[in-house]
Amino acid sequence: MGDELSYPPLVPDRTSAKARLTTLKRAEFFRGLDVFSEAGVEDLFCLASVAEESDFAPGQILFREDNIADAFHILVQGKVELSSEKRNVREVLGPGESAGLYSVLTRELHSATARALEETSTLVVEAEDLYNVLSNNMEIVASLFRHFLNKLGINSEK
Amino acid sequence: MNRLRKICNLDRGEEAPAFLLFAYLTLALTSYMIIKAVREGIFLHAFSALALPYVYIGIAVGTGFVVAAYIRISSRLRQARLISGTLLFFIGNLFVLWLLVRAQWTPAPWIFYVWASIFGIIVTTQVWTVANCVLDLRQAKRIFPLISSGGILGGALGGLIAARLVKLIGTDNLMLAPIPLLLVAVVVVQVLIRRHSLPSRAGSAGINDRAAAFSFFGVARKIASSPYLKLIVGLLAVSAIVTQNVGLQFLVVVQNVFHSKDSITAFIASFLAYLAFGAFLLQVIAGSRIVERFGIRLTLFFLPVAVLMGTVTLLAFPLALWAAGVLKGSDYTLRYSLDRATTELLYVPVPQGIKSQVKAIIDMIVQRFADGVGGLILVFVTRVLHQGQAGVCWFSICALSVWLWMAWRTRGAYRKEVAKIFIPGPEPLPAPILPVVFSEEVSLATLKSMLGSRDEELVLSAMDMAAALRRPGWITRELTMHASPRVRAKALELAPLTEDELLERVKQDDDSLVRASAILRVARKTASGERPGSGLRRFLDSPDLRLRLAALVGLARFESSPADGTIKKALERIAAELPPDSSAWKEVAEALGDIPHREAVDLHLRLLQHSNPSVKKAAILSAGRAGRREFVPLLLPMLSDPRWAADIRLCLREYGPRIMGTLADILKDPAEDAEIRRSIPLVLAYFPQQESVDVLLDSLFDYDGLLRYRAIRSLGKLRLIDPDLHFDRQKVGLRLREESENTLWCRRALEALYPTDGSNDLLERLLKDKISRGKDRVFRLLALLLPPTTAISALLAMAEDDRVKRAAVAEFLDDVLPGRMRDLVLPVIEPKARSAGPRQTVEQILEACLHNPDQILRECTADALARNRWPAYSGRRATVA
Repeated sequence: MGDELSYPPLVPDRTSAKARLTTLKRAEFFRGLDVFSEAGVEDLFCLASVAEESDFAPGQILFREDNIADAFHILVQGKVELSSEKRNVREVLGPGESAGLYSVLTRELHSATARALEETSTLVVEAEDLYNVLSNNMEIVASLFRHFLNKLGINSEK
Repeated sequence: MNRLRKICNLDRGEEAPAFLLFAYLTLALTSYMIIKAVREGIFLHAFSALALPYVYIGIAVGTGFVVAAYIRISSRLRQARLISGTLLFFIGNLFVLWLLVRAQWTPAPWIFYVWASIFGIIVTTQVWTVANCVLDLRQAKRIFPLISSGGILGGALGGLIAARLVKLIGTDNLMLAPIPLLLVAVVVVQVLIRRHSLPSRAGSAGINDRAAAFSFFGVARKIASSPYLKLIVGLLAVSAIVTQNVGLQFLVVVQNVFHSKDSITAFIASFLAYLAFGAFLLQVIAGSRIVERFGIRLTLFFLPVAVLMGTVTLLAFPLALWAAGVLKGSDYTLRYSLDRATTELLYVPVPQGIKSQVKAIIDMIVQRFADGVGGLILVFVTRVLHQGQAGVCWFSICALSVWLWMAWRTRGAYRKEVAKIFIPGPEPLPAPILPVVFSEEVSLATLKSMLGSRDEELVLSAMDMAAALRRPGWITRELTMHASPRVRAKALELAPLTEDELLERVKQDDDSLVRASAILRVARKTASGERPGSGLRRFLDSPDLRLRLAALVGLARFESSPADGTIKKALERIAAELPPDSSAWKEVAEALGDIPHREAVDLHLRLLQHSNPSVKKAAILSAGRAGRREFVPLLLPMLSDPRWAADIRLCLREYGPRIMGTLADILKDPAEDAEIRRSIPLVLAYFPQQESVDVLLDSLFDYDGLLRYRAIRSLGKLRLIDPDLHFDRQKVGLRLREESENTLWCRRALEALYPTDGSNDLLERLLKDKISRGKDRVFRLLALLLPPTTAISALLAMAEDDRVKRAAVAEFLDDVLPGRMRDLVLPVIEPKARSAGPRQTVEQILEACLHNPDQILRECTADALARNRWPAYSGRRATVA
């Protein structure tokens, strides 16, 4: 044993000096998301290495409806309200949940506005960084496919 | 239970089927031996022994009819019902025969004698058929020897029971003694088939048509058409013939040494008893391990080699009792232990659907027929040729040579049959294309339909043919707008278009080469009699950028040496006219790829560093087409940037093997940027050259795990592209060894740290990831040594949830890999209940994890310790901190 090197981040590590979460803790947040539940640990570390920690005061906007989805958030602590005037929906997200991920993956505009309801910390992943990680790591892409196929109940042999 | 499992070489979960099969064969053989003793007593009491030859004829005829009926019935009934039904039918027969014997009906002893022989054949065959359907290949290899020891035990028990009971209840009533044993066997069969049957598998061995297997002759035809089954038939037939020779030689010597009836009986009885005991011990203690260790590839030769040595010994020491004992002893001991298990293993790759019918014919008919042939040959050798023991020995040696040759052939055929279980059949060629492509008389209608095809190559060929037939009218305007740029370019060369139409296409087409093709045609038309270059130059001053670029491409590609400075001036003018943020730069960048001229290099280098990503991307992709070496120093560092890495790789692919030296230098330089080095194997995979293979093989030992993985994958791709490339077996073997050892270490670590699933620790998941990836790497490395299709099929089969296929893969690799490699690879792909290898304590494993160069492994271990996963080692937290 012992000839493995860790997969270094494929884009510059955004972990700043003031970061409160270790890469491992951030990887665990990614693992908590359904979408990445099938990804390997090294893939999760890859994703974690491109995530940045952000803080939001109560009432602060994370992103607005119909804006370009250039990043998504994973809630570390606090609460975020997702609301859409057009679709008349309101949902409250808690720690471990993501906001804006599907819009980033589908390259569509945000379908709701995300607003912090209390002091909130999130892990932010820029869309470009996510695409870069995905484009260089087929394992994560395969795990995404597996997740969606399972979710849709589609026979993978078709 | 663990101890018993260890002695019998069983894995967890195999105890029930193994002991049920053992019990089934013991019950069957015990019943048969009782019946056999009764039949001899009843027949010899009623008739002279001289009447036996007529009975033998009756047995031969009766077996033929019964087997034909059995095959017909067996293809219509489920196996559990067929076997239980057969046993219940035999129980009914016994009862009726008992009544007939007690009534002293004259033909009863005759009928009972023939019936008993058929009973023995069918019951034994059925046990092995069930065993074949319950155990997969790998299990069969370990468990068949244990089952066959049940046969030896049953034979001994049957004799003992008959001897004891006959004194208490008499010979006639002894006929009913097997009934309770057979009733228990019915229950055992039901449990075995209902609870432990393998999923049925269709096809293989060229014998997948079940419909044809419904009749005796249908099955016989199947056997005749399958080379593998024919080899089994030949092997068993020659083996039966040799056994008769051995028996005769032994008896000749015994008769020569002992002279009284009692002394002969006493010697044979005790000799056979010792042999049976020896065979039983051999089978129980070592049989399973021997078959598992050496497999079919060697165990097929054990019996013929032992008998050959015994025969040679007897030839050297004629009439010596010890020599005859060696011969008979080796034959008897091995035949009913290792060889029986080996022979039964040969049936395992035969598809379930026809296995029982094939086995019925081979075991019931072929073996009996071979016995008859053996007898006739012996009569011929001794009576006609008047040969003595030496002559029989020489005849045996000839037969043994045939046996060894057949065993050798069978060994290869077995490997192929096993591979068929997990290698899918070849994909059929798309039928509609074949007559079009290969027809000698390409009709005009076919040609027209080819021109309308979506297939690029087909349309290009059709256009060539249309041009050769002088039918330019068939090349329609639609083809100038075909999806394929190659088709459009060709159509623009050949289609009957006016100059205006061609210029219009130049302005509209997105592909630089297509535009060049069109403008070149215009130039040829206008510069009649001159070189087309002069016709092209007039477009260099056109206000339309596309026309200018197309003319430049035309000049650079189709005129051997455009006047010095022409291209440079034209490009400088374009550069001066275009604003820096114009989107038209993208078109310029694309066109530069088709201007492989030194005068275009400066502008191309500038565009490779353009601030607009789409212009830069176009410049990167076109740099490969231009293929100028000046770009390489600028392109290679961009491999470290994930935004450009994929495009740069495509670009470098276009350069081809001429940049191999540069790529190899970077790959071998540990001081070079890690991401650049990691990209090189992906580029080398595009060059199917021996040099690429050699460079990649060297990088199998790089310190960087991801680079090694990419090197393995790239080598695999190269092997698929060109199977003639040479892959250094020593280097691959060394890497294979390291990968296997790493994977096994991870497995042992997982077993020690997480004996039960579901901890939710990242460390547990990471170890599982590493095991799965290690397995993947091992197969990819194997693909460099084995036929690639086989290795890839094996990898895919291992990922399936099909136990039979996975066992077939393991058996195949067990058979083809050389000794040391086999010992390393098999534990990776076929984990036993507990992994073998040096045991490490939890503390030692944690220590190794915490000091591993893999940063993620270190972090995950520290995290698990921090969660107090192993309270006894919580002190480790200090080390981590």
